[in-house]
Amino acid sequence: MAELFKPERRKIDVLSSEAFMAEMLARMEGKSLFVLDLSEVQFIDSSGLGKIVSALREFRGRGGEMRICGVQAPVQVLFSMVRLGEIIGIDADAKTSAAALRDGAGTNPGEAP
Amino acid sequence: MGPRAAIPESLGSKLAGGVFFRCDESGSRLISGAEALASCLGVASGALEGGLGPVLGAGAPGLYAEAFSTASEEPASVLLPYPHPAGGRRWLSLRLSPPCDGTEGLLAFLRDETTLQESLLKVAAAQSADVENSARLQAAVLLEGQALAVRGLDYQTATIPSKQVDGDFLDVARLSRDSVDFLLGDVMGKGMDAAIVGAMIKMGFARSLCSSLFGALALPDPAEICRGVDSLVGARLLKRGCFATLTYARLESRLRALSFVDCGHTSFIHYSASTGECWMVKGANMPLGFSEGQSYRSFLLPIDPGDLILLYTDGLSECCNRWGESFGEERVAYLLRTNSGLSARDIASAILRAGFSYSASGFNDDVSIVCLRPFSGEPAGGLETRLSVTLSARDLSGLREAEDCLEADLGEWIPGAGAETRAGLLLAFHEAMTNVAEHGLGGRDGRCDLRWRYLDELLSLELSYTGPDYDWSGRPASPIRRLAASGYGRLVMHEVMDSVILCKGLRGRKRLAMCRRLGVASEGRPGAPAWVDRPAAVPEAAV
Repeated sequence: MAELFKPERRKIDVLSSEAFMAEMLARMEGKSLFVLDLSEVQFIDSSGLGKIVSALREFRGRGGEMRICGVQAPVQVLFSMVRLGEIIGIDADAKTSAAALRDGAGTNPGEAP
Repeated sequence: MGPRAAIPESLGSKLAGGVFFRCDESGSRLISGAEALASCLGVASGALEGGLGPVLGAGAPGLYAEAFSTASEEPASVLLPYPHPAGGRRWLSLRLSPPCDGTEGLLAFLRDETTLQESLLKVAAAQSADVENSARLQAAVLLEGQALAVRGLDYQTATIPSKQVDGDFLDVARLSRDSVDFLLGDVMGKGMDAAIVGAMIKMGFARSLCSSLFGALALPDPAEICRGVDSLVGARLLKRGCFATLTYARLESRLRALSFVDCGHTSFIHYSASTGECWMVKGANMPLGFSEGQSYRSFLLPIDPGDLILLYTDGLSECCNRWGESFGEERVAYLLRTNSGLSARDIASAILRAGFSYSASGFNDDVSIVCLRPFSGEPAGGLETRLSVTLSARDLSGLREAEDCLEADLGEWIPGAGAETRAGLLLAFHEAMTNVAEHGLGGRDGRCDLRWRYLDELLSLELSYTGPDYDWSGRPASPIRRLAASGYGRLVMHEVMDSVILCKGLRGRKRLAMCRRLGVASEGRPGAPAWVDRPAAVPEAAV
C-alpha cells in the first residue's frame, strides 16, 4: 500500500521548502511506495522542486518508488519546463498513482530516465 | 671574472663574421688589431694611423662621436653607414666596451651587416606599401556604412586609424521601418591581411542578410544573421588561423530596445538617463572564427528616450599612457556619462579626443566607435512600474511585495497573455529575486531596485543591486537527469524569458535585465512611435 502525502500549504518556495522536505522525509520513513499529492499547492519554485527531486533520489536509494499527482496549472508550468516527467511518473489523481505504483511503474511510460 | 674578460687577447683575429680591435677612449689611436680592421674597411693599414674617425665615421660623424662619448663608462653600440672604397654603401655595426680588467683603452667589435640591413629596408618598404593599401581598403570598404537620417535617432560613427591598419570594420543599415542595424568589429592581426579578412566578414554579413531576407516575413534576428555569417566565412577564418570580435546590434524603435549579438567583443556601454548609471554590456558568444559551428545567442536590452549606447573597439580602452596604464572602460563610461547632454557627434568627438590625449604616442590600434542616442525627444510610452525593496537571504518580505505588485500589473496590462504565460513570468521573476538574495548580494541585506516595462509586445523585468562579481545569469544545462537538488532557478529564467543578461556597472553595481516578446499588444495603451525618415544632415562616416 502506497503512502499518500498531501501537503496543505499553497506555496512551496525558498521560505518553506526545508519544512516541506522534513515533513515529506518523515512520511517516507519505512515506506516503499509513496504518492505526493500536490492538489492543494498553487506555487512551487526551484527550491521546492529541488527538495522533491532530492527526496526522490533518497527514496529510490533506499529501494522505494514514488509518483506525483494532482499537479495544478501554475505548478505544471515549472514541471514541464524542467521536464520532471522524465524522471518521475505524474498522474491526474492519487488513485491512478497508487495503481501505477502497485503495477511497478515509477516513471511515465516511455520516459525512463 | 665577468663575461667581457672572456674576449680573447688576440684582438685582431676575425670572429663571428667581424673583427676585434682595441683603441683609445676617443678612437683617435688604434692600440691593436689595425691590420684586420683595415682589411674589413677595405683600406690600407696606414689609412688608420690618423685615428678611426676619418674612416669609420665618414658616413655618419655624429653617430660615431656619440658612440665614443659614453663608451668609457658603459658599453655602446651603433650602426654606421660606411662608404666603402670599392663602391657602394655598407652598414657596419660597432660595439665598444671598457675592458673589465682595468687595461688601457676600449675593446671594440666591428661587423659588416649590409646584407641584413638591406633586407630589412626591403621589408620596411613592402610593409609601408601594405599599410598604405590596407588603409585605402579599410577606408573604402570596412568603415563605409549607410548614412542614415532618421527622426528620433542621433548617431555618430567614427574611426581613428592607427599607424598600422588593424582591420576594424563597421556598418550601418536600415532594414525595416522600425529598426536600424549596427555592426562593429575588429579583426585579429594587422595590415593587408587583417583588412582583407575584415572585408570578407563584412561581405559575409551582406550575403547572410540577403539570404535571410529572401522570402522572409519578418526581419531575421541578429543571431540568425551571425549564424549565416559563420556558415559563410567561419571555416575560412579557422583555416587562416584568424578571428574577429564583433557586436551586431539592432535598435528597435517599436519595442524601445536593443537586440544584439556579441562575439567576444569589448563590452559596450549603456548609459541610462533615468538613473545616471553606465552599464557594461557583454553577450555570450566566442569571436567569429574561434570554433566551428558555434551557436549564436542574441540578447535584448530595454532602452529609454535619453539613453545612450556606445560601441567601441579595444584600441580605445586599451590605449596606454606613458606609465603603461590603460585608458580603461571605466574612464570611457565616465566620459559618456559626463558628456551625456551633448549630441552623438560631440560625445564621440569628446571621447576620442580624451583617449588620444591620454595615450603616450597616439593610438597603436585602430579606434572605432559608434555612439547612439535613440528615441531622443520622444515620450516615454508604454507602461512602467518602479519599485525598490530590501532583500536578504533570510527575509523575503520584499520579494512578496514585489511579486504581488507584478502580478497585479501583468493582470491589468496583458490580460490576453493567458494564465500559463503569466505564471511563467511570475516564476522567472521569483527565481531572479531569490538568486539576487542568495548570490547577488553576497550574503548581506541590500536594496534591489526593480523596474518592469511593457511596450508594444515586449515585457522587460529589471533588477538592479550592489554586490560582488558573480555571474549567475548564464544558461545552465538541465540538471534533472542527474536528479540534482539545485540549478533549476536559472534554467527557469532562461526557459521563460527570451533574453537574460547581467550587466556590470561601476562600484559593484549589477543589473539583471530579462525580456520577453509576448506577441500580445497592450490594449488601448500608448506605444512607441515608429521611426520616420527626416530631411536632416547626414552624420559623417568618420571624424
